Amino acid sequence: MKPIDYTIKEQMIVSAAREIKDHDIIYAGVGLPNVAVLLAKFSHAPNATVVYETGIVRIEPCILGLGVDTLPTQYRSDMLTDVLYVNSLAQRGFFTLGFLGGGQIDRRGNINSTCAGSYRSPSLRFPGSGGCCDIATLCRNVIVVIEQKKYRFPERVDYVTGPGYLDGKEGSREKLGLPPGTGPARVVTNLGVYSFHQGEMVLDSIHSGAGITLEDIRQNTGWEIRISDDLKETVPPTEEELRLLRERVDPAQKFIKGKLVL
Amino acid sequence: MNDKVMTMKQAIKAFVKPGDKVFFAGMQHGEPVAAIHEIVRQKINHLTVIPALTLTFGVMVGEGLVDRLVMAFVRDLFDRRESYTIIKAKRNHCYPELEEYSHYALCLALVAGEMGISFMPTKCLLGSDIEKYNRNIRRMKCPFTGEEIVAVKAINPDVGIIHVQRADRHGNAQKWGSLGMDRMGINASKKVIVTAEEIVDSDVVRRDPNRTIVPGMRVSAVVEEPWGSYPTHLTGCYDGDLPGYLGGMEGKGAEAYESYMSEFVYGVADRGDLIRKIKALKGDAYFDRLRLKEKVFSEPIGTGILRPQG
Repeated sequence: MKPIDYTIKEQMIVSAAREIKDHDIIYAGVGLPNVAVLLAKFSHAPNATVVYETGIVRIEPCILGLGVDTLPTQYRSDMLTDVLYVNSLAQRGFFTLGFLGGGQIDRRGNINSTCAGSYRSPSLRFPGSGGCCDIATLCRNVIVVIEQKKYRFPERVDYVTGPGYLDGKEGSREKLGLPPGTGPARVVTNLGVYSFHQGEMVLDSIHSGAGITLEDIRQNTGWEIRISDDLKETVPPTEEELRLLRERVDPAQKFIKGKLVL
Repeated sequence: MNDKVMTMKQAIKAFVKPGDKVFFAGMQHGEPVAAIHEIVRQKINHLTVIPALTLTFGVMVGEGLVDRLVMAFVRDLFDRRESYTIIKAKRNHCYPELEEYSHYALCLALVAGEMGISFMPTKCLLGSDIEKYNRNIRRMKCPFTGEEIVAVKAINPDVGIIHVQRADRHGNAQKWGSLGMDRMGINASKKVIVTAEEIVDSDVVRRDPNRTIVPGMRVSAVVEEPWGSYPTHLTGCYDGDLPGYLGGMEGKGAEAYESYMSEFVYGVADRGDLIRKIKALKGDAYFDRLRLKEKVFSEPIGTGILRPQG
């Protein structure tokens, strides 16, 4: 069979989309998560509900914009409401999946969208929590989509904006009073896909088809990454996934070709 | 009822004072950009700004008018964007103090303000470092269940500014589309400035009163300001052009920023003047392309009363 040409970004979007199940209720962020949701809706998850933080609840897939709140994301939605309503749904546990970007993620799945270095005089300042903390604290099955570089994958983030498994000890989230069953489930990067075991990030699959090696992963991780006993090669995008992605989801190639917007 | 219609200049001069806590409605949707530019022109300073993810207020930080930011997300803060609003503020030693929340937590602070209660409890923020650096966020035990929860202290802005699709002369303001933190922030505010695409007869409001986001009795000023949200989008009216706005300025250093400010903020008298200037530069077709032409309408809602028989 002739090998299919695809980019790392396409692999990343496809891997994220595969995490979505039909009938999921999804809290989705801007950028690639939104692209992944749309791909899932056009393929295996037409009944998924997508919710955006500014107060948009919708079933119909929409034309992609560069922001979360655009005329197309509002147009023909099922409900237009507000931050209070959307996050109260999250606090009550109605979301089955949360999509999140972020500046950094650490070994324990803690996410930093605030700053690196000291808080009072940071070496790198990010835009702030926005919905990061809300999704990380309140959603079950959180999928983090992030570009993997060494500085984005430190052993311990300097500032926990959205809590993962904190110090990694069993029950660390529950002890703090966080709703049971919440917390990060997967991390999808341009290099591989990760899950969490006993509060620690574990490499599940490498995007080998796109030329990524275990060495690339190690070089872009700030600690000795734990590797699954059942390490796999990521299943490359199928012809059908690529067709939907290129023709229906992102025909203008704003996301496939554009700068990584996370 | 009072007629509260005035010009933007009058409304900002009368109701925004140095040192005020100002809430900007418009969470990526229908930002009160015309009002923001007027505050800059009037150089009203020492403000505490509470933006509901307002992407366009950064110029106030750049101009040194903001002492404190009460915020969940500020795009300009991200160092890699090299936003000159932040660079300039740092250079001039007027980088604001930050008081940080998440979207939900900030919204709940405004809900508490709206309700007239001292705080709101939530489970968001547990385990996050946000609470370590914000003394308006505290831990407590739920008096009923004993659960650990977070208390977010109420915020009551001195003045809230919102741009809406339509309002009547008394201030009954109607906004539709996504509403972000608009309702809470505006209703938590002590004074309210409404800017509207169009001032309509009260009869229009009263035939669809569910759409009113703040009633006239809570409003201090009403300003008719077409294209008041440009370059952000406003549902039912026009699309935005954020790439055109940010693309011209963001990450492009002092010169791009200062020339934008002198040309399009300080160099115009008001929003009408700005629109004329942009048309002269980009052609009439520019705004025509952004204006929504094929609107979709739902069935009108019905209201009414029974007339006495006989």
